[in-house]
Amino acid sequence: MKMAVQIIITKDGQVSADVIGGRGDLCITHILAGLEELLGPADNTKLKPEYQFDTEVTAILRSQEVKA
Amino acid sequence: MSAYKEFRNIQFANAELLMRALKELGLKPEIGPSLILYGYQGDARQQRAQIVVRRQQIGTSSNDLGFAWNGQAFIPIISEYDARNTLTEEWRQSLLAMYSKLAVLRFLEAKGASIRQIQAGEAGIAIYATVEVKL
Repeated sequence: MKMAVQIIITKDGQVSADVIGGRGDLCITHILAGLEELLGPADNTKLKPEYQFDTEVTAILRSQEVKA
Repeated sequence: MSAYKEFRNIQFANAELLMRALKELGLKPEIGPSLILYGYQGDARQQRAQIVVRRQQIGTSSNDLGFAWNGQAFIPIISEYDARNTLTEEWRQSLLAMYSKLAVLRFLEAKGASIRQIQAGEAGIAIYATVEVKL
């Protein structure tokens, strides 16, 4: 299944991922599991937004202004 | 003598990506099984690390910068002097951001993702891609 993904890396190094549409709720866990191998263990403080992914976090991240 | 401190709130899981991130920031890191950290007067310290940036690359009064493997990730070891003056929180965040960017791009490449757009701005970087996910 092909999914559109948006990954945001903030200036302080935090990473969050958002799957757009479709079966996003299921796909996101697969994507985050893959990222975890490279980014670090789940108890890493800097990664909390990624692993606490939920609607609220998504909304906050989407509201961040990313100017081209 | 400036004491060394471990910054456990910052962790890097992959040695190669950490080396690349340091190089992207203009540094020339060394890697080895147990490298000695030296202070600004050339004095050998008790601390050991697997990835080290020598003090001459950091500043005239700086101490070596180390990253020690704790079994799960590499933890920065920074002297109190450098943590305040050269390898500040802002610098540490920029290293983390660079590492994260390289890690995400590596991940997307490994997944065979098609990157549609990369937007860089004041808040950070947004990457838009299409990924094949097997459920």
